[in-house]
Amino acid sequence: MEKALQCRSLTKQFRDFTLGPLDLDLEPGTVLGLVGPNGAGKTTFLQCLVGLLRADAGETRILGRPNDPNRPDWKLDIGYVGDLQVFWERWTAARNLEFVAQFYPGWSQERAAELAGRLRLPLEKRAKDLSTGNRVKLSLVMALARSPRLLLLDEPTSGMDPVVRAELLEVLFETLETGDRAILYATHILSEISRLADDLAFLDEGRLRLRARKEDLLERWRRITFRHGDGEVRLPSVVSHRREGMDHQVVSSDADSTRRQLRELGAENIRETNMGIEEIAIQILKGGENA
Amino acid sequence: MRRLIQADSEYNRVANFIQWPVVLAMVAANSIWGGMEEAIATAMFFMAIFLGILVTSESAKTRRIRMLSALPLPARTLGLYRLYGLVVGWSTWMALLAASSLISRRGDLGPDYAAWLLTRIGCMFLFAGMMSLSTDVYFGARETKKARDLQKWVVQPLLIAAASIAGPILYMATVPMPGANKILLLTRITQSLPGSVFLLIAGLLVLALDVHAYQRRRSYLEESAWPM
Repeated sequence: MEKALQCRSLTKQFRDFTLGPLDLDLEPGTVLGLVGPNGAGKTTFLQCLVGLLRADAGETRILGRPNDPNRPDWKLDIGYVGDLQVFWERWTAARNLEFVAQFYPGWSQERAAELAGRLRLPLEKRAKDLSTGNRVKLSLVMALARSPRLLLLDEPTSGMDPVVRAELLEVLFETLETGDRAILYATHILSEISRLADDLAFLDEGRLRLRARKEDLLERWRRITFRHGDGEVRLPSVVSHRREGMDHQVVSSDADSTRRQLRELGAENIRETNMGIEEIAIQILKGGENA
Repeated sequence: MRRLIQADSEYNRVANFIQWPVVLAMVAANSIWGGMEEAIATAMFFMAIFLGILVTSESAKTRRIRMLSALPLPARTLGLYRLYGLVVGWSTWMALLAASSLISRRGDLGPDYAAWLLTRIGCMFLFAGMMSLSTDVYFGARETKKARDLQKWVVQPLLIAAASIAGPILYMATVPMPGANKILLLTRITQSLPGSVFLLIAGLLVLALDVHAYQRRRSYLEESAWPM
C-alpha cells in the first residue's frame, strides 16, 4: 500500500530560520504526533505539505502523488486544519460548508451535519461572528466531512473548551476506525496527542530530533535511582543525572542496558519508575535523543 | 473556475448592486444625449478603483487565499480567477459605453473612437496587471534575505514605477487635462489605433505574465504584498 505521506530532504529556508532537511514517512492507518516547542517549524512543515508554501528543496508525495500546486488531485484526499482559519467571512458557517462541499466528490452532507451537531457548531452564524474555538470547529468539519485519507492538523484544539476537545479526540478516533486513514497531528501540548498517537516525531529548531513508536518510548525510557560509591557514573544511555552523596537519580533512554551496566558497576538498591510521555518529550527536546 | 466566479458574484452582491445601476444609468444617458464618453470613462475609472479596493481589501484582510489555495484547484485556475473580475468587468463596462456611443452617434464611431476605447481597456489591464504582478513576483522570491531584498528594492519598485506610468496614462487619456495633449509621445500612443492596440496587447501580456507568476509563487499565505 502506498504511503500516506513521504518527505525526502524537505527544506524551507527563511531569513532567520531553516526547516529541514526533513525525511518523514507516514503509513496509512497511523497517527503521528508532531511535537515541538513554539517556533520549532511545525506550522511551516504542514504549510509546505499542503502547498501553501513551496519548499526550496526536497520531494513530498501525498498518497503517492507529488504535492504539485498545478496538479491538485492529491488535495482531494487530504483534510487540513491550519493555524489560521480563513473563510468567506460574511457568509454563514453553513454557506461556507456548502461552498467547500462542491469541490470534493467524497463530501458527505450527513457527516458534516452530524459533526457540526456533535461539536456544537452554530451553523447559522456568520463566519466573522464565530469565536476562535468555533472557527477551528468549522475548519474541522470542513476537513472531516470530505472523508480524507490523510488528515493534517495544526494545533486543532487551540481555543476549545475541555468538553469539545474531548469530543474532537473522539471524532478523530472514529476517523481512524476505517483503518486506512492517517493523521499528522502537530502540537506542543503532548497530553492532547498521547492517547491518540502511534508514533511521535520530535521537531526542534527545524530539525527532526527523533521519530519513534510511542510504546517503545514508554517501554525504554525510565527514571532510575541507585546507590553507588565513589567516582562518576558515565553511562551511554543516561540523558540526565542527579547526585546527592551516594544516591543517584538518572533518566535513561534505554532502561535495560542502563540497569545491566549499573549492576556491572556494582550499584546497589536499583529502582525504576515509569515516565510519562510528556516527561520523555521534554528530555528529548532538551537534547536527550543523542543518549 | 465557474464555481469560484459564482461564489464571488454571490459574495460581492452589494458591490454588484452598487455598480450596475450606476453603470447602466450612465450608458443610458450617453445613448440618449451623447457626448458624455469622457465623463463616463472617468467615473468608471474611479469606480473600478473603488470596487477593486473594496473587494480585494476584504479578502486580503481575511487571507482567504489560504482557504482557496487549500482547495483542489490548480494554481493557474486561481491565478485566472483573481483577474477575472477586472478583465470581464472592465471590458463589459467599456463594451456598454461603446454600445451607448454607437446608439447616440447613429452607428458612426470611426477609428479614433476605437483607439480611445482600446487605450482605456489596455491601460487598465496594464495598470492592474502590474500591481498584481508586483505582489506575485514578491511572493515568488525565496525567503532568503538576498532574494527578498532584490525583490523589495529592485523588482517591486520597477513594477510599481511601470504601474505608476500606466495609471496616469489612463487617467490623462480619460480626463482631458490642460497640456496633456501636448505630450506628443503620449498622444501618439493613446490617440492612434496602432498605439492603442499596442497598449491592449501589452496589458494582456502583463495579465498572462501575472497568471504565470502566480503559479510560481513560493507562498500562498498572503493575498497581497500591499498593506490593506
